[in-house]
Amino acid sequence: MPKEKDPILKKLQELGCNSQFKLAIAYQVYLDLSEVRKLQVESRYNKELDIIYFVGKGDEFPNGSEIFIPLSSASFLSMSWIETLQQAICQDREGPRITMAFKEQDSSVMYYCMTTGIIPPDPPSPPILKKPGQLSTE
Amino acid sequence: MIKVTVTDEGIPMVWNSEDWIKLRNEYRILGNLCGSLPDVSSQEQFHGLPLVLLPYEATLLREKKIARLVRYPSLARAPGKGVREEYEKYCQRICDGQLTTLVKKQRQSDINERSKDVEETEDNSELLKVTKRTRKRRKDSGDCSHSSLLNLAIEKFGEEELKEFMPLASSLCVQTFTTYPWLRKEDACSVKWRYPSTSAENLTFNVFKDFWEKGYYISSGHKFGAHFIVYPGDPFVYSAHFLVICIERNAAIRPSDVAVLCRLGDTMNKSVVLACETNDKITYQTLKCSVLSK
Repeated sequence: MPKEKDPILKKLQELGCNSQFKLAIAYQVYLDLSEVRKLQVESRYNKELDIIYFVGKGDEFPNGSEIFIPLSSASFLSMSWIETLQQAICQDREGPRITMAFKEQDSSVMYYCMTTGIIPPDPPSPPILKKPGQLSTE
Repeated sequence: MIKVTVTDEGIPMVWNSEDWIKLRNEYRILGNLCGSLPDVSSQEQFHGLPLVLLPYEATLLREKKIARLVRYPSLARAPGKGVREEYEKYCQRICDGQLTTLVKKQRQSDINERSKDVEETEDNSELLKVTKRTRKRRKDSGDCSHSSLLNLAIEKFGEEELKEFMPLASSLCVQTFTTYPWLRKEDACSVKWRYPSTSAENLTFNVFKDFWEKGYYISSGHKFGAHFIVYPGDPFVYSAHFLVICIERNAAIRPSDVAVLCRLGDTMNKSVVLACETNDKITYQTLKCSVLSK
């Protein structure tokens, strides 16, 4: 009896991407975002760039949602490719922002943000006041 | 216009303290002080003039007509007769000034001692009367200096004693110059400045110029593995906000490089910015660790 395809993998295939390698990477990242990070994930595909990407929704993101680009840790990027990608898939033209999801060989996924423009660092967190005799829980 | 001296090795330097202050305060050029401060013991920590400019700083100053890059071939030659005579006259003035001061001090201390332990001898009483008269006259006329006292003492005790106070030449204070004091305008020769010459240098310079025009203070970022470290204000007052890396538009970036840069920025509490040139315009990408990675 032929084994049924995973529904998530099937859904990703239906987007239109034919590359098995890209599908495998996207599948792993999807699982990490939806099952481990507990985000609401929407799958999308850009035909011109032949790339699957996800829009994840969660309270931890400043705008409520974030664009994730699944990539292998063995891949190479360039500034021109990143700019093309941002212009193609980001709706926010003022400082488009994408999050690269690098899938490692041990199946772990690391996330790094790239935003167009010069963005200052986050301000330092304010000091936590402790009551006398109380241990800090941080 | 500020003059920036370029050495034979092609290193631009500023030797004048007023020029250094002007470059820092008015034009946000930081450079690197590489000299030693004579009064400071920790000479590896606190540096003084000269200020060494980085090549892109010198190019910017030249382009904006703030400074002129010059060299002084005359400094490589032995000084001529005129300069040597001028120098000897200067040394003599310094020597005479110090001797006069030494003699005045010594004489004053002698006179003070003698006036305290005095027995009414004929010489001393004469001296005391004279000095009192002189003091009163000087006080009435408003001149309370001791020069009359000195002259009087020298007249009394003779010029011979003056020679006893002639100090050794090796014990005189000698001024060391931080700039050559006998340079003339016509000694400055223009320099053939060739930075930037390669595409990488062009990119570095254009990124530097772009940040400078935006009003930032920029310093070399080699200690942090970056091209520049960028401050929103004077580094004496503000911490840096950005580590800037200049990268060609089509150069390959590995995911491991992205990971390293993001972790570096996170540790240092600075934003890592990748800068490249697109259609004669500088574009930037700021890297940060995602909230999901923390």
